[in-house]
Amino acid sequence: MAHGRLWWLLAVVIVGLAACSEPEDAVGEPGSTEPGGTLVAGDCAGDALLDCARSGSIGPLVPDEPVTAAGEPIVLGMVNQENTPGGSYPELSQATEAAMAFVNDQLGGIDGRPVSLEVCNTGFSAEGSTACGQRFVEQDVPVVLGGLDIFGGAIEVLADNDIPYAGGIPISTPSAQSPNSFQWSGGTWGATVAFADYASTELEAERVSIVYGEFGSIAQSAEYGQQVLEQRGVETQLVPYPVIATDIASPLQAAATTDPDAVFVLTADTGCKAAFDALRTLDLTARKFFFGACAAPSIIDSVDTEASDGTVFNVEGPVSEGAGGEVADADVELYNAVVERYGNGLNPIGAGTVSFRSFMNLWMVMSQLGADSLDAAAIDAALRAQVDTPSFMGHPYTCDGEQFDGLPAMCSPQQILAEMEDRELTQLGSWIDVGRIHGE
Amino acid sequence: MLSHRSSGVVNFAHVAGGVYVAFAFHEFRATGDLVLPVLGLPARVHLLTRPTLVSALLLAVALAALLGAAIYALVFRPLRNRPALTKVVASLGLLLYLQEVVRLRFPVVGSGVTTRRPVLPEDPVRLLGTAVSQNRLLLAGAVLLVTAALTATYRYTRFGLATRAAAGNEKGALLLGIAPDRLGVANWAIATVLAGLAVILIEPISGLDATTTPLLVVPALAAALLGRLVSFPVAAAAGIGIGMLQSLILGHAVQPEGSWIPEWLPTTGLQQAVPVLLIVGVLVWGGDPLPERGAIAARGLPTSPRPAFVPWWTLGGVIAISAALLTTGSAYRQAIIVSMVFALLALSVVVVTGYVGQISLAPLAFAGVAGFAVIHLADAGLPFPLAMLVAASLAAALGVLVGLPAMRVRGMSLAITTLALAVAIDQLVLASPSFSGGAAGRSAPRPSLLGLDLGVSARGADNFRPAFGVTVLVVVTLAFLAVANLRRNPTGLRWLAVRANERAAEAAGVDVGRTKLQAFATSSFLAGLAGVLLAYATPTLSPSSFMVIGALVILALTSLGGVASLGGAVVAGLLAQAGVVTTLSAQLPGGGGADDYVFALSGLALILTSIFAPAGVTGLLRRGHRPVEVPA
Repeated sequence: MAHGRLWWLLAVVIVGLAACSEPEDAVGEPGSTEPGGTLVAGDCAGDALLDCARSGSIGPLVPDEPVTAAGEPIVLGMVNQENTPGGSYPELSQATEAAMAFVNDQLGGIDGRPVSLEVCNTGFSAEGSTACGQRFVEQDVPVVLGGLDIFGGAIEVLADNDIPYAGGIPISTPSAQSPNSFQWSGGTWGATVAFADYASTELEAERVSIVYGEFGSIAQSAEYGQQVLEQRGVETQLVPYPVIATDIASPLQAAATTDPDAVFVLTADTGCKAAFDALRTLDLTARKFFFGACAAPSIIDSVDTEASDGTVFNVEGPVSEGAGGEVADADVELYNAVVERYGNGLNPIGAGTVSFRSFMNLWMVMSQLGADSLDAAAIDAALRAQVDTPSFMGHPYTCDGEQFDGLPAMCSPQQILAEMEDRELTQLGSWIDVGRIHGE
Repeated sequence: MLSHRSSGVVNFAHVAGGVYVAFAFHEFRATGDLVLPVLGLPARVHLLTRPTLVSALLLAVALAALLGAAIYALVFRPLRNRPALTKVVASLGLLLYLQEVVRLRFPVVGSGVTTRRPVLPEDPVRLLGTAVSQNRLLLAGAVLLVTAALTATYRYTRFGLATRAAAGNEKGALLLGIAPDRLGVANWAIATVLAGLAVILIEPISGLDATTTPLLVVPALAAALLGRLVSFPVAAAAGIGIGMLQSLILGHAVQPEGSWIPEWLPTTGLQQAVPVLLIVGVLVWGGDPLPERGAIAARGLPTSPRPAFVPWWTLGGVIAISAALLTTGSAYRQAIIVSMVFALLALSVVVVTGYVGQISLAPLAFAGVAGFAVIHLADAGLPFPLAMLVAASLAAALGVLVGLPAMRVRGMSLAITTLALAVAIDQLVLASPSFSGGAAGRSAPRPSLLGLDLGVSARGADNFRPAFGVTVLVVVTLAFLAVANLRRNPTGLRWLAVRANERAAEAAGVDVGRTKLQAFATSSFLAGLAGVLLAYATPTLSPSSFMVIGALVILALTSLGGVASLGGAVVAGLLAQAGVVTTLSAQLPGGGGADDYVFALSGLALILTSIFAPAGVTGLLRRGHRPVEVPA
């Protein structure tokens, strides 16, 4: 509907971001010291940028000396929602532009040609989204990057024209299911399945309550979690609440009545604090599971340590230095440095990590294809051919459409869980293959 | 309720004002900066190096009082004698402006959440064996105290009695030496202070967000409506009662005892819709078939010109649009199709609100029901255009049901009632996965007629096929011609008579109730047609396309165009998101709606239109060279 000012979807949009954010203590203010052995820009600032890049997942494509791209730009599209009262996510395009500036300035673009980005704003409407897709069809761009688009109409138009749609925040159904979509995140679906796996195996929970905002992908995600739990014999209670909830304590109270062993709280980050406080008041002994963005320092600092202690969060990258190996460390270091240098003041913490990762992964694929071979069909085929390919700041990815049952767009839905203790995150085990678990 | 008492306004921006105050409170507490709400002025002024809770609260109270007084003086005082619709539209403009002020002045990028220190203690206490957070108990106590204070103030103090007198009879109050303007300023200041404090206090419970928090005005309005916008104790009890009922419904629905509830009925829908339906029932039961004797007919209704030169306008429009569809690229074809569909939706608003004066906020819900219904009908084998007509007829039937309250409820109360019913339709029907497909939505089969493919999609630049565009053009043209004809014949005269004065119309032999229902049926049929066309035009129709709040935007756009004229509907369609105007503006340098201030300016435009040009853009064009009349 063309009312670009549908305000109340924001909460859901944020939930999508919440499930996709990087571990908050892995990225941080440039040049600062973060808890948990955070890597910071100072380690690879200035001329050392390429050295950092060489140690990371893009290493094989990094030139010996900085190469500045020149000539006719290769134009890519990006669909995002910006400057609307229904929520504005400029950090997604800003992070992409930072990555692109680095690539053009130091990595030689693609075969020496610069990459340029055209961002189309959906205006937070279904028709706006469709118009974005059609615009890029007419421009004949070889690929469109995802930002955040709750409607997904653009993806369907692009699919009709065999143009791949890559990365961003997978929040709409087409972004997760369309045959032309390629995603480097598990979205809310991945997070919830990871929670279900941990609750059923590690906690050996017998009863689980899933409290969730009743809208879109969140409701689907709750069902995904329920499927996994019930298949494993766990009694599961779904407790939906309206997106505009005046008090989340009411659904949490309803969830508490069954005396669950674990409670999954699928809430927007604006609802995290209220949920923490309400759970504390209810004095639930159940283990709490929240989306990763609820672990943001700004939220955790505002709740009692008692309220957040023991809470499990999902993240899509190793939590601290060394946990994901040297390559992951170098990627995080490079990310912080690039955002500091090319980000025009962009805060490195947040959903920009996902779009940054998307661009870098896509750049790797396009660089291997070469500038002369860049068309939609070639990029589509190349993405489909990726098997266990290193992903920037993420789990290696495979885009064969079979990584996550029912969500063929997910190339790397794997998740890591981390537990909060004294406002510090500690990683719980290694990557969880949520796609395989859901398909069992 | 305070603002309604002093100016007859149900202010949809009431909570939005509180949200701004709450953001300013937290910002001041953190930085000592006062953030100003006037775009164009400096964003912030540093006041204190070491702000305290008390200084922050004092600042919030002062800021809220000034904001409330300014809103009354600048926006609603000029509108105090205007029809309810004009005030609704102004409040929508204010809502948009205030939301944008928060977004622009407190730039929390995307998912960022800032740390906020709570005002009330949050430790749990045991009460009747249940743990309850202290802040909820204190908040409940504060509500009771404020309710008692307001009740006493408006019953026993000179200020309160004067306010009630002025609300009852402004001229009489003036003769008694009461200054209604000063009372208005005071009441609006108090109302905004209460809104600001309320948002500050509930922030730890329900969060604080520029987008979602202002929408708390919907349940607040429901409670206020139950108090008939007059009784503070009833409104407070209703608010608490609604919350309790919702909790009980949810608690029951998610337990095994709630297994009798069919799966197709969304749990949250029940939670939200049942109290709403109860409220509507109470209102209708207590309403009057006709306005009370002596009720003053609204002045300043937008003029409703008799459609003239209809054949020529039709011919010219059809030729121009056909030519554009056949000669422009796919992006413009889409824009033209979107504009035509939204002009149809706006036409439904023109009929029920512009011609008959019934503020309905449900047309989008009707469009949604018809949009998904046509998919089911087409899947069942019903061919185009029969499926379209049946689906639109379903919407018309629903429209009559929603219109029933209009037999006994009117003005602002009707606006809130239809909004509540639209919420019920949205939450119970459109949110039902078995009807709408849930988050994934549903796709309509391609329409065809006599073997001719009328579908919208095609590959590449052929997408948004001209054949579909022409189909939309035919449907929209027929709809406009039908409405023009109705407006020109006795039906239209009856509509306008009801709009002008229900008692007079009844005395003149017009069956007011039947006339209203006829308008609701016509309007919802048109909205249903628009919904069907949207279903055909969209790759996948999603329930999120029909969320209730969008109805406010459509009403606002139609008012901007001119709510009582066919031309107004056309202008609204042109202005719709992804329509002709936004597509054209995207081609301009720096265009595409990317400008930071575009929505804030839209809000201001709505306010200014309400004050200076209630007949909208088309009214201004008709007025031509005559000077703009500045309201007293």
